[in-house]
Amino acid sequence: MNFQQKIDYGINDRVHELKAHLEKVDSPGIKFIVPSYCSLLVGFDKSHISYQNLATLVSGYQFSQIPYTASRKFWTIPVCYEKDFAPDLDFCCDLMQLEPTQIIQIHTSVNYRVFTYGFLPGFAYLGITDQKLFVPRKELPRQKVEKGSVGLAGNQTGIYPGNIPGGWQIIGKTPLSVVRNVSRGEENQYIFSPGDFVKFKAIKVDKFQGLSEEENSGKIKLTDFYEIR
Amino acid sequence: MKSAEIKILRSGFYTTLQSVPDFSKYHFGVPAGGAMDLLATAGANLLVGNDAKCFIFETTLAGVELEFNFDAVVAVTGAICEVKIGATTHSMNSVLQVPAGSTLIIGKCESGFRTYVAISGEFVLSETSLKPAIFKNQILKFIPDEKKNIPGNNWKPMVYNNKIPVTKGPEFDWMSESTLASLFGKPLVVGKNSGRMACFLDEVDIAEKFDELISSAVLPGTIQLTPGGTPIVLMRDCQTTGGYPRIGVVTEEGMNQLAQVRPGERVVLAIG
Repeated sequence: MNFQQKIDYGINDRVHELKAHLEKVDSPGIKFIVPSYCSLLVGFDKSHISYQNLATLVSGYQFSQIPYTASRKFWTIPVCYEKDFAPDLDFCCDLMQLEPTQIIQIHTSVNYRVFTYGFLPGFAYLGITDQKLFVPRKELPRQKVEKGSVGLAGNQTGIYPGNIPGGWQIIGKTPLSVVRNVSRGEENQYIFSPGDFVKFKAIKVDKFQGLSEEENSGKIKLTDFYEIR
Repeated sequence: MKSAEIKILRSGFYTTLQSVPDFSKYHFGVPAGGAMDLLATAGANLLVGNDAKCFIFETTLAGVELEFNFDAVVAVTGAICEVKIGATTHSMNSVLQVPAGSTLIIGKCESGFRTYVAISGEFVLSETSLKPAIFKNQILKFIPDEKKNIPGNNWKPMVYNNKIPVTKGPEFDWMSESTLASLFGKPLVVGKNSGRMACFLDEVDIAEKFDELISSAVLPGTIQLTPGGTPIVLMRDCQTTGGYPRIGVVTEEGMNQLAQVRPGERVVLAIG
């Protein structure tokens, strides 16, 4: 199901409104639903629901007149933007004609929408970044991007879920792990849900190290990092 | 009593444990995975009386050698190859008894690309969706099921050919007549880098240039067209979103066919 092809909060709201509707209908034929920026994929079982009936269910839905607001988590994610954690910050400064403090100020001033997951398990695409932070991907992907690195690409920003190769411009790092250990009793393996909002908060190195230690010893309480609105 | 174990005497070219695809975490970017040839997988599990979701060995081209420390009931399906228990040759697509202490030898594929080995019972596995390749001398713990009713040899394998049925994708209408003619109904070569994530189709003459999409969900079976004009069929371990136009979708039957095509061989995409 394609919506108007545009990266836009209002259109993404519609995607989530339709998703919520289909979840409420709870048809046994619908197997999984994958929201993206401006499209919704519905996986269905032909033996339970025909394509025609599903299409009627989707196209027959009347979108609400008022903007849709799901109950969502608003995250505040601590990020250290200091040199050791930000290998591409200098490059970004040159390209954007901005000082590091300006980049940090702009990057931390926006509530980003979790538009979709992709690329890797647990990699959430967050947007939309301020035009001033628009930057292409690296020409050659870095062989190893460290877990927790915060990157920019196009008008998107995102957090690397593990130590992996990647081509985004790295401007900081969070001590929080976005992939959780469900065997330790944590509720969700991947902390963000599509539709959530994420705001970054600049922290100093000592705070980063303190939180890292808490994270490693399992003392971090995720509830300290979001509120439900 | 010593626990039941399977020792890998020879791991072959690329052998993994696979089951049916799992879409439960697809919206978190976790690939669905699953056996490349689901029909051969279903057949093998059916033959040994397993649940359809049981994990089985998926071997690629070169087969595998397995040593059992228990009396195992096994079935071999998929790409055609020689099957031996010790020195004796046996049939594919049938129920075989492997006595404790003996070795099951799956030879190199004579035709096709992926051979499947199901064993009656269940592996003891960790919870990860993408299964790492099996390596030589690895020992896998197993819980054999000895009480099951074995349905017998009533399973007929599919006859593989190189015709791949395709349905229209969301961006099908983006293609001009000449692109359609280059893509469908004529032999295309499966590229060397093809594997469990994607199947690249080479030697396609497409001059048309396409815009990219805003990242949207893709599925195993989705055919994307790159800006360079290379069609890519996404396979079982594919990423969950993509930005290239999704011009077609290979059917389930077609995915099973494609699983058995070797890099360098030719396929024909047939729009239905």
